[in-house]
Amino acid sequence: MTERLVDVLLVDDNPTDIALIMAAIRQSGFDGTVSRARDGLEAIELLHGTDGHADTLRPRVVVLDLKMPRVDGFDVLRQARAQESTAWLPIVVLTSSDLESDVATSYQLGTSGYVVKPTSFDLLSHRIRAILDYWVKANRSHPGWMPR
Amino acid sequence: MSAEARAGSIGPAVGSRSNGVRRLLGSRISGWRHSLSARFIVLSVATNAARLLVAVAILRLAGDIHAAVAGDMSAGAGRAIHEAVDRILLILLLVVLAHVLADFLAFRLGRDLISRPVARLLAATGASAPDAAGDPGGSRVDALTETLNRFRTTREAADEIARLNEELQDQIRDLDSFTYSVSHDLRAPLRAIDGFAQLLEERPATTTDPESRAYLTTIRQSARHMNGLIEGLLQLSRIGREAVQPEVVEPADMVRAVLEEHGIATDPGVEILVDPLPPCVADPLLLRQVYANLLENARKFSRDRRPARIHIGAEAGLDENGDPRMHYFVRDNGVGFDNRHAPRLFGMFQRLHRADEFEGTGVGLAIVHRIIDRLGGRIWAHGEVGVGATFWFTLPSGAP
Repeated sequence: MTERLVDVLLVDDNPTDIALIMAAIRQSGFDGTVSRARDGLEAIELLHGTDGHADTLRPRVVVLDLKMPRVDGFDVLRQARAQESTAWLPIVVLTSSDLESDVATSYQLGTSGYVVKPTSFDLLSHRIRAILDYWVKANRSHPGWMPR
Repeated sequence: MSAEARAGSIGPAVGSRSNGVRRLLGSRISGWRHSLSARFIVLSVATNAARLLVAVAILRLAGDIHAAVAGDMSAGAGRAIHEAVDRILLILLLVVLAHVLADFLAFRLGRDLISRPVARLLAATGASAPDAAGDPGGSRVDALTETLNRFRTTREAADEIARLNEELQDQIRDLDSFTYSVSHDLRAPLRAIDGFAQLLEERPATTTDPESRAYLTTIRQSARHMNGLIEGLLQLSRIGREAVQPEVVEPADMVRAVLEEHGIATDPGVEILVDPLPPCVADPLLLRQVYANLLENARKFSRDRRPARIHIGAEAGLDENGDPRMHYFVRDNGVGFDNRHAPRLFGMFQRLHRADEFEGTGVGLAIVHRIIDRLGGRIWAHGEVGVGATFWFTLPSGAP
């Protein structure tokens, strides 16, 4: 079983949102590697491998949507935190929901941060820049800090 | 078989000797049989301790009789049988009398404890109550039956109302959560429209073509307008979902804070008059929203006036029941509106002015209306074209 290292794993089921977030990442000047998962199940399979023999993805940060078909963001958080290899992985929720219950549940399930998708593209770009600056750059400059 | 041994085995012995007892008793109690046998059975199985004791005594006597029959059929034995039967009959008689007395007492108690309050209840509900001193027989039973039936109908009606009310509350909740999720799902494509329009605006091909730029500007303006509509829907559904936390509020402080916050207080083109405002009971956050929307409206529709005047005050008035109630108002000297359209003012997305005259989404007053509703008040408006508009509302009084 080998680990494949990337900077960001973007988990979102909405293709236009993914395209927009990718554009925002480019516009923010971020030059790292980005992997994508189209729903929670795909994300879990990438992170934990399927049947224990496939490669696993090792992102520096996961950017996670909440409302997704099959396996939603809450389940991804639940499953990620239950497994040792991803128990401390930085996961930031990026969603259009600002429901108090969604925020509370996300934090209870162990999210590292909660960011609401803004309507304005500029704001989205700023917010994504902030997430990547914090998690990716911090991890790059101190590669040993994250428990493996 | 000794008497002690028999006494200790009453249970299993009953079946074997009951036929003999019945034969012996048959001729002397035949007249009683129908009324008594039923009562005897009832009594013998009764959980009432005293009645059980009586039953035990009877069975012990029956044992004596059995002994006598099984022994020497002499004259002494015959006399013993008669004496035993007499004793049984006496006990039975006492038991029956006790039962009749108990029935009578239950009837009297029932009449006093149940029918009198029922009569009072009937009197209170305006129905004709049976005369408590009148005939205690059939008519009272009929009246009670009728009363119980009426109670059942009333209770069924109450249950039905409660059920419908619950259903309605469920539907309101459904509608609110529907509005909420629709608003969220509507935001995603909107974000994409605005985002990609902006990305397109920044591309070299667009910056050199004025027509493309104009189209993109329109697209983005429309996206922003729709965003405003969605925000309004979200706000409105939030008001429906969140719990109201009422407390005594000083509206004057609130008005001053809103005027500062929205830059109306420092606007040199606006003359503001704030009267003393009596306290009221309201959720402060919601009331603040009411004043914010009304004051923003007042400024918007009077911005062409020199000077624009905004008057915030309260007048003693009446509520819908004719009880005294404070009427709070916000008045401006703006463009006003035709009073015939007043009922439409508070509808969602309703606008009385063209978008190129006054911008807006038609959400603000709908929100105000919903809040005042939730706070237990009433809102109405009065306008005159070219002269101005006044918005009135009532709230539960905050006076001690």
